[in-house]
Amino acid sequence: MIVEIKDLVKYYGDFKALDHFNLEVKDGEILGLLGPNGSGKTTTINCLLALLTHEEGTIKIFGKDMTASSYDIKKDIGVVMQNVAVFEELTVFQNVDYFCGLYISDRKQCQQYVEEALTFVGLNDYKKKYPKELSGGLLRRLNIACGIAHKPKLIILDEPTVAVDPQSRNHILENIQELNKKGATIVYTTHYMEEVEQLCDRIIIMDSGKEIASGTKEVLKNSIQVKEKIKFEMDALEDDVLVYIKGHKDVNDASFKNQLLEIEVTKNNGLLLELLSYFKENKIDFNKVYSETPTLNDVFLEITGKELRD
Amino acid sequence: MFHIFKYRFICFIKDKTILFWSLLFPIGLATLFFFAFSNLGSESNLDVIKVAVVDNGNKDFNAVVEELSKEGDNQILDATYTSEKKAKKLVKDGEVEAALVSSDKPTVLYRNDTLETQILKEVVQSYLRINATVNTIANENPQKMNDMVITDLIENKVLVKDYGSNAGSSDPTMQYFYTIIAMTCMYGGFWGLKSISDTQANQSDRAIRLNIAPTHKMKLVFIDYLVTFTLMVVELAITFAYLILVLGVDFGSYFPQVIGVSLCGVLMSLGMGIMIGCISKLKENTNITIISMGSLFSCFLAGMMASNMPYILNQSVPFIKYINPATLITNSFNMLYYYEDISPVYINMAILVGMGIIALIISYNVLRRKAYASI
Ligand SMILES: Nc1ncnc2c1ncn2[C@@H]1O[C@H](COP(=O)(O)OP(=O)(O)OP(=O)(O)O)[C@@H](O)[C@H]1O
Ligand SMILES: [Mg+2]
Repeated sequence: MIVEIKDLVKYYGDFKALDHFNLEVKDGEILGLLGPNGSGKTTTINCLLALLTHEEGTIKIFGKDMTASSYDIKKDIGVVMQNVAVFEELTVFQNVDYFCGLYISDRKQCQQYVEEALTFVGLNDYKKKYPKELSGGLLRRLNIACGIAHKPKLIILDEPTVAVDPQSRNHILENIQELNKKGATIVYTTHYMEEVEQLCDRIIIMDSGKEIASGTKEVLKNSIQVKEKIKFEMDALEDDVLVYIKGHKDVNDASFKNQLLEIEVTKNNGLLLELLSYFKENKIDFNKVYSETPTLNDVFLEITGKELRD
Repeated sequence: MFHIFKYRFICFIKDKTILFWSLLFPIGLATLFFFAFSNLGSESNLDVIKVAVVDNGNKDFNAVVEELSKEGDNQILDATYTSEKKAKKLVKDGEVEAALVSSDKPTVLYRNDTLETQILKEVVQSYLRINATVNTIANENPQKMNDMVITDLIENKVLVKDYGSNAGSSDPTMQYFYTIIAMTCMYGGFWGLKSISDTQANQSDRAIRLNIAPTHKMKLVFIDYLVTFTLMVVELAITFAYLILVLGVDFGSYFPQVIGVSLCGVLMSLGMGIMIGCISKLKENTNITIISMGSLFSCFLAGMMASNMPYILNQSVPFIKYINPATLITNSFNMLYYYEDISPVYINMAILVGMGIIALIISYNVLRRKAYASI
């Protein structure tokens, strides 16, 4: 186990930001920490890194207790913080070199790592530029290069794609997958469910400082009642048809609003065909039909009763 | 280690705001002082001035008056001893230029502001200035005090003949230039403050990165201390060079000690800046304001805006000269200029270093708490 957080409780004054939170990260996996704004993701990361004090619970990294002075643990961790943290006074190269040099004492090796990191994030042409001359997306890449240049075993990324254009975002996500392939274990926090679906082997969904679900995305999606959503666009619907659909044993709920019939199905496959033939028999017209598998948002919605993102 | 030093040096030296305040501002102010005061004390070859002297019991000052009334090259006074009432009448009738009242704080009574009354005021100022810095010696050795006033007047070109002294030629505005050096030292606090805001995780994002690195925080602070100390040495070198070579300010014959005092001042101000950075819960800009206002106030007390300030304070709150950093620095410069026994200067240096060390100890106790309750 690379990371082991048990029963973590963290207060900011009277406010309970983490409530008996547990987290385990296995060697070589990409773990996604998914939660809405203010759910405690950054707080978890900061506690994990011993930047923040905590009231209860234990934190172990690489099997050892993590404290602020665990320098032997820290040297194998790379962190990409939510806020871009670079020195405005230093160039792109100098920034990465400065931070990498805090981990790698051999100057030659350090310089080589810096070159590799800059190539890796695609900033080779910007070495001599200053951070304020970079676009938002490039700045994020620099932030990443600063965090990972020393080739850490454990990489923690806290919303590295916030406010980033799709091009840079894809670049960043590919980077993360590549780092993982090279052997790094990764903890990735975000409130974008698409990102965790694309990236993560295992997902922990948190809300209000608590874990509300965890597992692979398939497991998570299977854990909820609604397995499929079928939608018909139609001009009109008679009430007794809606009642019939609602009464079906595989239907969780159904509604007709704004010329859209939405049906939540609790069983995989089968119902769509059944409905189509039912509509045909009863000469019920519709314009379009489509079926959606649930997203992580639906998982979140079903457990907490609110949307992942507002 | 060197690579951290190098990058931190780049970071610090690119802070144009601090560079302005700690380097350009003092130099600009010194230049301003230079032009504002350059016409002071430039007259020579004076006639003897007729004065009425009211002896209200200040023996030291009486001795000075007596000395200045002796016939010879340096006679500038023609003194008539009389009562205060009579003196006022003499002044009013224009029988004498002015009256000197020799009380604990000597004063000049005059009707019109003339060159002569200006010189008499200069004499009194000179006496007060020296008395303020060396009053301990004055009590023990009035003759020495007397000599120093005469020397001061010669240097101010009020008197013409060189009595031969420890010091070279000088200007009455030296006190102002001394406070300039004090101010440069004091502004070291900005550097100290900056070094902390870059290393305390609850003060800046980049500090967070440093806090998760496997480098001991004390090591980073220590390296910053070396960097900022180096910077201050360079800044002081430039300021001294400008004051001495361009403006012709004279620091007397104990120059190594003058440098020593300045460096002690730097140790003090860096420590203070670091301490404020560590203990203050206020915003960085507020902290900057605290340091700049504090430094200016300290220099004000040391006579930056009015050269008789130290004298006034020494009368009412004598301990100020042991606790106000800028006064410690300027007083030391004065002592190095006027004293032959300069041992009190070492006490001032020790106080400055002591302040710096206390500030660092307080800071250490904050810094060693490595995890934060809130970021
Ligand atoms: N320094 C602080 N003092 C007081 N409360 C805080 C502090 N930092 C965070 N909080 C609160 O703790 C909760 C968790 O915050 P945290 O930053 O961990 O959320 P997050 O999941 O990272 O959110 P986001 O997606 O917006 O980054 C929030 O309700 C926040 O308001
Ligand atoms: Mg966050």
